[in-house]
Amino acid sequence: MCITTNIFRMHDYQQIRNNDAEFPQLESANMKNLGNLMKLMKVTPSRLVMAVAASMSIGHAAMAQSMDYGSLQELFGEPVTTSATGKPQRASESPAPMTIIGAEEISRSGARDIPDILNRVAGIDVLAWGTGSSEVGVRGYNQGFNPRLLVLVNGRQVYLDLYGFTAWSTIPVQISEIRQIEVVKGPQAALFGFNAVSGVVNIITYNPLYDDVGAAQVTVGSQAYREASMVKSLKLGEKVGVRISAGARDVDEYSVPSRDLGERQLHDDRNLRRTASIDSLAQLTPDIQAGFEATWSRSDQFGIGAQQEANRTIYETHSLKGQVKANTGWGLIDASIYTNHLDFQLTYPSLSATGITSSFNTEADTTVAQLQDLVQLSPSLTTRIALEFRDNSMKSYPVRGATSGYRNYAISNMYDWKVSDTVNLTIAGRFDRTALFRDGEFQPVPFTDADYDRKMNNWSYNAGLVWKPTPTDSVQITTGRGIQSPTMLELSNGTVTAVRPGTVVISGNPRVDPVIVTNYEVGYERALDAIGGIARLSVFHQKTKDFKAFDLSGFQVINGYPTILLANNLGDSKMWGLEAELRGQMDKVRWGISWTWLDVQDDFTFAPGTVPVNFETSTPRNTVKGNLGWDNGRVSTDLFLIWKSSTEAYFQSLTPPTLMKVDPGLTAQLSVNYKVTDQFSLGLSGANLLKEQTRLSVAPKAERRLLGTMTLKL
Amino acid sequence: MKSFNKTIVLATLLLTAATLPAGAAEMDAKQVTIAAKALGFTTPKASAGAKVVVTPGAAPVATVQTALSGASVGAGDAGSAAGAFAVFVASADEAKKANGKGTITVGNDVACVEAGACVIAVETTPKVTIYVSKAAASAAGIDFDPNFKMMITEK
Repeated sequence: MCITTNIFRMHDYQQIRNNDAEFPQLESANMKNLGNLMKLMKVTPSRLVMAVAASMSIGHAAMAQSMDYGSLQELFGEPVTTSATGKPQRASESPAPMTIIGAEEISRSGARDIPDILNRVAGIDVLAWGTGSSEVGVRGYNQGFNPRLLVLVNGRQVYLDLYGFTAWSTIPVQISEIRQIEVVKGPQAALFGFNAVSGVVNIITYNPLYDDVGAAQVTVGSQAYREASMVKSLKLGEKVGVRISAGARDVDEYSVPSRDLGERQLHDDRNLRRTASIDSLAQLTPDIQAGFEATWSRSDQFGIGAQQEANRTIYETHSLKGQVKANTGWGLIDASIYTNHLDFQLTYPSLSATGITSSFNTEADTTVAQLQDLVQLSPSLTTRIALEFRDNSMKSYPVRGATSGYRNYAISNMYDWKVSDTVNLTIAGRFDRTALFRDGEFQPVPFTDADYDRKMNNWSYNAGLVWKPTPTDSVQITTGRGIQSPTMLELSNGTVTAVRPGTVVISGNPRVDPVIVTNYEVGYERALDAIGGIARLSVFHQKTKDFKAFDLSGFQVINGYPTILLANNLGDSKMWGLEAELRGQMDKVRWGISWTWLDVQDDFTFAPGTVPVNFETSTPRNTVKGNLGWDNGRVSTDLFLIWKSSTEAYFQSLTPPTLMKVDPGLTAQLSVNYKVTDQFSLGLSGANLLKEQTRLSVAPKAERRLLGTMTLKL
Repeated sequence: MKSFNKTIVLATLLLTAATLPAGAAEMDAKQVTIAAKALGFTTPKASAGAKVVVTPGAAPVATVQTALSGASVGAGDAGSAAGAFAVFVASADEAKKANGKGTITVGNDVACVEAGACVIAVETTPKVTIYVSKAAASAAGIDFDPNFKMMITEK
């Protein structure tokens, strides 16, 4: 990093500005440039970058349209974010329950993947399926292919709408390029849209224009772990920044006995992950920035799926994103468009004449166009108005030839009002108009094209009141309503030809309703100078309406065909919860402890056991996490402990779904980092250290892991 | 003669007291550092070697020089601020004298911003808070980074 503390030895962000230039308001020129940019967006990515670079030859001093996280954090002495309201805010002022994990904390943790980093946050539950895959849940309801948590990288969705979950290994980000990970708990749909119902994880990487980063890392360890990654930012002239990254990881699964042949066939292979990305940002004019990002990833891993079934999944993703930000007389305007593509193959245990596994494969595409304007109406009132178009689709299976999905049109509006020096009120609302579609060469069965001519209206909101009765105390009252949309698979119908009456059809369900999650929360936070830290307490109540799942036992006759639906609305659930957290730092020692208590009450319409879901037992009632770290110049250490009360969750392989108990257990992770020189450091980390084998979830037991990492700054 | 000397000493003391800036104590190192960082979010930017004036009682000159090492920092009064990029002042009256196009007045007291005289003032306890006078900034032709502007307190 290249950040200094004064305006004349400023970081790269200010080096891109001409020190002695004048600063004309070039509104007409800006509009012309915007038009030129739109033309440029039609050419290939590389030509776009070159064209943008060439356009930089005429430079002026610039204002920052993109938020400079590093400089603002340095200024205010705390992390900054836009993930609570869309408006730049200090973490301590965000009107939402939020945790921000910074790069330094990530580095000290020794974690080599994002779920391991998130596992340290109070209220987050990580279910580790194996050496290469995990599921992350916020405040309960965690399961295979968890659909309730929206995950983004710099605002681009990496959540996969096909099944409605996040395959963490496909996220094309290296640990060393993460500036911070922002975790917002509770529904945040008014800002982020569909599927932000239990929370949002927004991964913020270093800015290619403002930040100077470079690192090469090699990690080796037990389970034949091999990983190499590289991150480097480059400056093309003064006003174009590019950051490239790539990584590869191979690791064996744990050498523990499989429970049946089906699981063994899926579990015993090696896991792999490959990713690459390029991100760029250019200062087109003093008031306009444009960015372009392209990513690719491939992973092959064992995991647990939406039916709590053992599976092996191969993902290949790629994405393209273009973004323009402009500081105008009408506010800070942000226009972006991105497209995500997924090739997906799921292999699962299934006894048949041809073997003990079956496969399902398809392709899915998500295209999102967003336009937002952030306007400061007065010093105390800011508004954000946004429009969004989303096209989500998947190809039919087993025979291609049809595409189904939905197109969504949304408008949202947020007001952030500083009522007084001690009170802040935020209100946000969003309206979504969703139109299903199905196009194809063959007629769907059992549903008809008419069933896909369905339109849905949904609304979501967020409201937050922050009251600071004293400089050290803060009370937060928040509520939110979020929409969990049907997944592409749940809406699909891949039957090729008309099935004979009497034959059972397994089909998606264009009549399924979205799940509605509503959350009410009161939080209290107090800064404790005596321990150099904070105390936090939150109490929340969450309602889930119209829970949807694959109901294998629920035959329905649809247009004359007995049908099992891949998705049906199956009742409600509600939860009470409490989170308490205490963190401190004294001299070289830092520590933290948190306790999360969750009480889930399901009110489902299916008979127990017919759908492999029981959130009352699969959500840990109590989770206690603690960490203790010591930093002394070149050496830093970090010990992380987590204890979870017992859970019971479904698992199936070749056998039908059965409830499986996971005993209460304590696990430990330890990391030691030594900075040999300013450019070179060594790290040793371990996980599951207390036992040789530990059952962490319904997946096969986990073994003790030891990893060693070498980091060379570039 | 003795009485005359006493009178002289007393008069000198009174005169000195009268010329000392009224109001808050001078900025401490942390305030100066934060103010210097905040100046990085202004437009227009300072040029290398830009003139920065620190008036008596506003802030320790050496501390300002350390925080703005690329600037030409010097002690002076508000009247000598012409052409300066920034002037650290100890009162609203001084700020008014120093105000000019392109000059950012940095007050050692929030009251100076509230009076519309200083462009910027900072507080560092219990947490960093940056105050900006919209009127003073406008009069000086100073604008701020739009993201920064949403995270400060405008008066």
